[in-house]
Amino acid sequence: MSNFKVTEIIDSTTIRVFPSWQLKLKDDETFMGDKIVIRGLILEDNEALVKERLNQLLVDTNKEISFNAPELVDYIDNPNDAKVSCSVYLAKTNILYYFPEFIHTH
Amino acid sequence: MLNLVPLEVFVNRIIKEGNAVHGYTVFDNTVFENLRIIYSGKLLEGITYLIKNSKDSFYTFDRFCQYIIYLQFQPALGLTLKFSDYKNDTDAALEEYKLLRDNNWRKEDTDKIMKIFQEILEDKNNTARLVIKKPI
Repeated sequence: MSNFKVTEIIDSTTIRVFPSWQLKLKDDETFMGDKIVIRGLILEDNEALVKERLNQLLVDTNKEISFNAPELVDYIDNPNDAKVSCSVYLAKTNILYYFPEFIHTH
Repeated sequence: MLNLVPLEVFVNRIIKEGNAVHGYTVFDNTVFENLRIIYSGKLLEGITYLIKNSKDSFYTFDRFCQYIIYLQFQPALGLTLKFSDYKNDTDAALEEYKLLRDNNWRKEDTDKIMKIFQEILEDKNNTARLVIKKPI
């Protein structure tokens, strides 16, 4: 059972979780927020399709969802409403696996 | 390695009243555990200093995520911390507000509680989960 539940697909690359997350850096600086950017999902179009698929995979599911290697991406204005970018795993499989048409490797 | 930790606070008992949910933490070490989650830096140092050096009772209200929190210290009894989530139900918050006024709570306290409730209604960023620890 995951410690987090995805409550909303905000846009095609950003999700909202419950409860919020807390991230403590090595210097004890603490950030919190409820938004997570899915790392590696680079979209040019098809937003509606991606949102629908994310809803099916992450919101309407009882499978374990986990997050790995968080990186702060938006925290300057308010450390209590920060955003992190993470690799998102669904039942130990990177969510990107379910979006083969949107993965761009260079 | 950095990890995302779910935002959770620890309570010894959860009571539901209509739409409202109240969590109570009654053991000092669990209250301190929560205070370290809720506050940080100088504010945490200040509260900790006040608790450890106070000879008199005191209490304060504040906001943490979707909760109105009520921290109370009594020298003979120690610390208690109450988390109240009114689930955006204005009627439930008003009902408690009226009850407190009827029990002769100070107007500035009841007004502060309603001010925090209003803040929670207007800003829904961040939600924390109540986790029962050492149930009573």
